[in-house]
Amino acid sequence: MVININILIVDDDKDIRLLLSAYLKKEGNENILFAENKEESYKHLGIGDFEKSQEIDLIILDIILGKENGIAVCNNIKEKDEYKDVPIIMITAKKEKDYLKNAFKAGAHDYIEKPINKIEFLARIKAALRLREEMKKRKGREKELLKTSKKLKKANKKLEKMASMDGLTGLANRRLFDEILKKELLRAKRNNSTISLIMADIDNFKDYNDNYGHQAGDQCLKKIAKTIEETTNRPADLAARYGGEEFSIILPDTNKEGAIKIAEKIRENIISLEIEHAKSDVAEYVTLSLGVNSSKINSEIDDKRIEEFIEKADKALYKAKENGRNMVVSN
Amino acid sequence: MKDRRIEIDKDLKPIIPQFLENRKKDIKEIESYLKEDNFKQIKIIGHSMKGSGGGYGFEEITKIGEKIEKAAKDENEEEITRQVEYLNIYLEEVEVVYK
Repeated sequence: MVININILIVDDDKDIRLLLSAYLKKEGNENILFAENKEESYKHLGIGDFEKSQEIDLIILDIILGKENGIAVCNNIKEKDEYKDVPIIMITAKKEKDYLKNAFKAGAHDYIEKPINKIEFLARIKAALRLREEMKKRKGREKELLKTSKKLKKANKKLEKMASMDGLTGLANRRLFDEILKKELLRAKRNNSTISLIMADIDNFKDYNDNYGHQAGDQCLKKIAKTIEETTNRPADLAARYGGEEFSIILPDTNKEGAIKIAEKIRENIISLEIEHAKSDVAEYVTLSLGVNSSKINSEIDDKRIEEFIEKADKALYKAKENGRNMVVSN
Repeated sequence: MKDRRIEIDKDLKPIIPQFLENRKKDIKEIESYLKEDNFKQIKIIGHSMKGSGGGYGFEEITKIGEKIEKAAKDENEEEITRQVEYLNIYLEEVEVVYK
């Protein structure tokens, strides 16, 4: 038998209560509670105004409790969520058999007949306790399952984040950039707001790599990414690594003037990093050229429109390069 | 006289004396209810006797209880008295063997 099982016996006849508990105790069930009427049983179960003092695993309930109706009591107990999984065994006399249908309807699990037969009684108790144990186990497994599914969700989220992150710089990768740009363009169109895009490229980066090596090149990319990230700190802004040494920054709800300001700030912050670049034809430090495109979106957002939007920023970037690098140009 | 040896499950040994004692109380109660013509209470006592007797191994007590219950329903004082007397004798003569 299971340890720590609490059994509640509800019967108005003291002799029956004693008889049942004698059998149960012989089987090793020491924790037996008694009630001779509705109120006493509710007291044990914590129903109504009463507070529950212990968990009950099995209820043995007389179908007739003097003037009270055991079936109604059964019904009230089963209405409580915490007793949905607690088996109730009804005690009936032969003549009360007609009530059984109602007892089962009220949520009773099984019944025993008076006069109580020891073997029959214990067999039914054992079956009910086994059921109770299985239900408890199932609940435990359900909890475990829920925990696992939560863990999985978390792992998936992490994975998703990892899949949309550039491995070296930690900025959004190209995939996420494409996704967010489309979303923001649609939103700009819906809200009739201005959206800006900055395309930025490290000046003479090939020469930097050739001179200092690829590891230094990677370190340089990381520092620049960090600075760009820190300079574009509004919640909706998105800085991404667009390609090798190229970065892109989406600035929703930002007009040309604002975008140029941000681009200029990035440019200044990069040169302030004072990353030595001996082979640069612009400055003694690493510098950035930036192209800005700002527009209101009036036409349908399709791949062609998105491409156009990026191309305009790219063209401005190209102009910045042509005009001498380390500068911001807008379309 | 019938053989009054009754075999009872040894698990019940600790509670049998109390059970039999309670039946003696029942007799006294029924006798006093009879004086008040309180058949309703007598019926309840008969009903419980019927319900518990066999469970303890005393089929005879269940039978007596059933008869008392019915007699109380019919308000048959004579029959109730007869059953109570019989119960009294039964309780005197019954010999319990635990197995």
